[in-house]
Amino acid sequence: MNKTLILIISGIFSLTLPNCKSGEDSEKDDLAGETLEITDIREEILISMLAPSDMAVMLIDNPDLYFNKDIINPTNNAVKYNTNSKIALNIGIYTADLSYASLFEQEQVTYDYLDIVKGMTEELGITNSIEKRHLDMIKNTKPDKEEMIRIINESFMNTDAYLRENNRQKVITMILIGGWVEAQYIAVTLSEGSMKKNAQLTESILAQKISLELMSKALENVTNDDVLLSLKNDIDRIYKAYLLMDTQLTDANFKSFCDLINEVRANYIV
Amino acid sequence: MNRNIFKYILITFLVGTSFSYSQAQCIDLVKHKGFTYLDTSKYIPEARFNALPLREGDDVDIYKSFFKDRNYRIVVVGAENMPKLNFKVTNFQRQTLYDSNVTKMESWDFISDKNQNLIISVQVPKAEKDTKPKSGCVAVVVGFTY
Repeated sequence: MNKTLILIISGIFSLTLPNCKSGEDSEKDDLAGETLEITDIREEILISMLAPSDMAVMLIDNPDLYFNKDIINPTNNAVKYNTNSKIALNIGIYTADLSYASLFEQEQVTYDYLDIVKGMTEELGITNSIEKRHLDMIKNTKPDKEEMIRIINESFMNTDAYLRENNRQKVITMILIGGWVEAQYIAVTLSEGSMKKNAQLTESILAQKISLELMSKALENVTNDDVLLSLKNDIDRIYKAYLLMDTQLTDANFKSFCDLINEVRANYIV
Repeated sequence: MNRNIFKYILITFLVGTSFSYSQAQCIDLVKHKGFTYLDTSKYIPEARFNALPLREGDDVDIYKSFFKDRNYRIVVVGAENMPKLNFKVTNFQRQTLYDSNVTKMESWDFISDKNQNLIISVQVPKAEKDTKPKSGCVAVVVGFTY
């Protein structure tokens, strides 16, 4: 198929209309020029990495788990994120957090975090992806977890579609990486670093190796973008930790994996 | 000179708006036709947006993770002006797990027997000889159940 044609058309569109997006002043925009690097990230329509909300469902939707507000990224951290890269990464992190809250039917937390994500997406010039009706539905209709997941997934799909429309693969890739790491962070925290704590949770954590493989594949052509190279390095380190557990699934290797996830996540939320 | 600048702006605007229009059609395709075939009363749509404009004769592969014991429905739909699409689901060794050419269905329901990355290959049949290939949106919608 003519994938090159699609990339060229996307490229023309983004290169000719780079200043139409709001919230991207050049001083704080370390994603400026992102559209020039479309060859760095493999066209991700081909590699459909998991969204943070889907990641949370696959990983931590488990009746033996519980909601702990103390472990998620506090909303007051949002004001610290003053570069577009940090905003993108933490949109993914907050989306994973609100998905975790929704799985335990924490309407108020879900609402507060979705509102924060709405503000952050608007800072990146993504308008109308999270609609007021989405927030109202969570606040006013007391949805169960399935309904909340539908609302969250729809709003995420709007964001994803907007970014694709505007050829902003780098932003969506960073959101997905942030979401992946945060969902894993929640899972390993709930596991308390022990694979014996909850067998189903351990199995789910190990299962996510395949989604990380797709992420690695999506990033394999990244060579000259410092921000993406740094994230790629994190992904590679996590993948190596998975390989170690494949070779020998010991308490020590599992604990090392959990520690690594904690370290990477701590670096993303500062 | 001014005329050339005007021509450039006009071409840029037309390319931009037509691309944007086709993408707007893509999200409509996902949310209307895609979700109808998915049957959102049974399946929760996943959050990723897997749709793009294609032409007759084009094909695309989508790599996606599926998890053990989950019930999935994969739906492949095209815009109204597009011919009936073919899609195959294969593993990374290219062994075919599903082929819509055999079933003639727009969707495939399955329970993943393991954690696995699969390839959804969508093919738009070629245009008839001596006709201009049509183009339109193609969407892959995936849903899961509890």
